[in-house]
Amino acid sequence: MPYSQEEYDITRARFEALPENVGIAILGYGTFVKQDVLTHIDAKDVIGDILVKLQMNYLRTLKTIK
Amino acid sequence: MAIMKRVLSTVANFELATYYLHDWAMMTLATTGRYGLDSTVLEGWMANEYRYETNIESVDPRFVWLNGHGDIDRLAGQNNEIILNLGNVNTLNGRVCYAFSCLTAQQLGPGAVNAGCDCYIGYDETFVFYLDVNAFSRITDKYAKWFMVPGMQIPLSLFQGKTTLHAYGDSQYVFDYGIDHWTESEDPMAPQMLAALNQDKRSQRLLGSISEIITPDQRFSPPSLPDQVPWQFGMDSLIALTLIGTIVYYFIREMI
Repeated sequence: MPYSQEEYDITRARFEALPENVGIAILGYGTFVKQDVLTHIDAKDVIGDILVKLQMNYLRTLKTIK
Repeated sequence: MAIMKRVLSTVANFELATYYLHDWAMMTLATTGRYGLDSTVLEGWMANEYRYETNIESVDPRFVWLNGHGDIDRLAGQNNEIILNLGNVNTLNGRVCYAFSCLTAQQLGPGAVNAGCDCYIGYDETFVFYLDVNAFSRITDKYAKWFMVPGMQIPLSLFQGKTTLHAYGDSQYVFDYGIDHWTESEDPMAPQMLAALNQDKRSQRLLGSISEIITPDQRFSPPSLPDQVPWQFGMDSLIALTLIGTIVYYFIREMI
């Protein structure tokens, strides 16, 4: 598990705000709606880790800018 | 020696993410005639390794544009059948390649350049985009277009005779335009859009020569912007014709 529980929790909280009509497509893995996303984050599988990396990289970018 | 002005493209089309790639790629490929290019498109079931390799030999394209799922050392076509890997990457020798796909710029791209590919543009992270599952059209999807337009800008700029560096710069500009737009937006999707746009922009890589072209004819246009499509992709004339046809139809019906 490359990420801390806190990082999974932050990612989950960010994706909980995802509207029901929006999907996230990851080339190479497919398309996921909100419930799929939350399930993968909870499972801490490959898709979950991709989503954590996506959010954490962005939050680190914001921190760097500030 | 690859033949200038010739384009070979594989366009997978078998699940939602590739449906988006397909529709946007086909719309962009429809503009090749406008720039005097000769394009061969391996669409859907034709996007397989056999057809890719036979067309590389027969068409001998200067520009190879691959759309599909990817991994660090391979790129797939229809139904995830592998089209390109480190074993046949020498098929890109003397050509310019754009892989609109995940991860391939990690190993496949450098492998291609080492094998003689003049320039390889791809992504070294997963390419992520948001879409509206209820969208009327994949072309006008209010979320997906912010990712598809910068992705399509690489081939569009190359079609116009721009160098590989210029095409890369245009695409990065369109990503930045999207990032600026969503930074100022109060849409609840803005934080998600910004995370994905930042990752996609940052992971785009240009490997090899920065001065390659695929056509000597220079017909430069400014980069396409997501809030202006599909107008810049040649759909304006189609829509105008449809409107004129509708008006004429009702006019004639009233006269009768």
